Amino acid sequence: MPMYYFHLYDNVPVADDRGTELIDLAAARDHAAGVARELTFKSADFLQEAWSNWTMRVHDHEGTELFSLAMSDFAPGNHNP
Amino acid sequence: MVGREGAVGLQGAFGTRFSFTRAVAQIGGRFTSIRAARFAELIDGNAAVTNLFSRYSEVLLAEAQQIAACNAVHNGVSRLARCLLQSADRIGSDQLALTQETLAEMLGVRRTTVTLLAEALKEKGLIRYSRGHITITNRKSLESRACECYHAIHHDRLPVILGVRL
Repeated sequence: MPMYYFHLYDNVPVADDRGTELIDLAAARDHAAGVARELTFKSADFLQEAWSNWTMRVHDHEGTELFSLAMSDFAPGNHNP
Repeated sequence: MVGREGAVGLQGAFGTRFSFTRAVAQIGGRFTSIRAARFAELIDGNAAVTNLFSRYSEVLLAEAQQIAACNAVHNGVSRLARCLLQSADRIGSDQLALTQETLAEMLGVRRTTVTLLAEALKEKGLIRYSRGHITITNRKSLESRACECYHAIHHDRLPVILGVRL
């Protein structure tokens, strides 16, 4: 199964150095949305930066970006996509 | 969560029981065990010990209630900080042999979420971690990041809040 890496970016990246093995890209999208919901749950910011400044970028094992999410889409008060 | 302040399986002293949950040793160490039947024999009719058990059960129940509420209403960073501090108190060391997988199970979140939360705490200089090991490097700041649950269920404070002596 391929590895996916779920990094967070504002000015400085917060790296997911472990990665997660998932069956396919659709599973990676579900995982990303789940992690985004868990991180934003009851939380206005991350490292004192509002969620509007954060993006999750999902990479494959070669470091190629596959897709990204605006973390603010998952933040409290927004409809979770 | 039980550490050097407590024990598991005490109800075995009151006759045969079925265990509702399985206790898992998350962090290895030295501990003492006794066969349930022998234990029951020893404390049979000992009112002081029986009484202590019921007070201890009350403390455990209060802690479980607080953590259930905590997981429903507090954010990830606060819960992770609470969980690390609680674990450190229970083993008496700020060096924790805890994997991110274990922490994810304890907090009911995905392991990736723990990786990113731990990275944030590391970024702030509150913890250090390498695979399978987490060290609390700034306890004061980590305490200020934890939710009030950590303070409420601290094993020195919770019995006082409940007005029970252990």
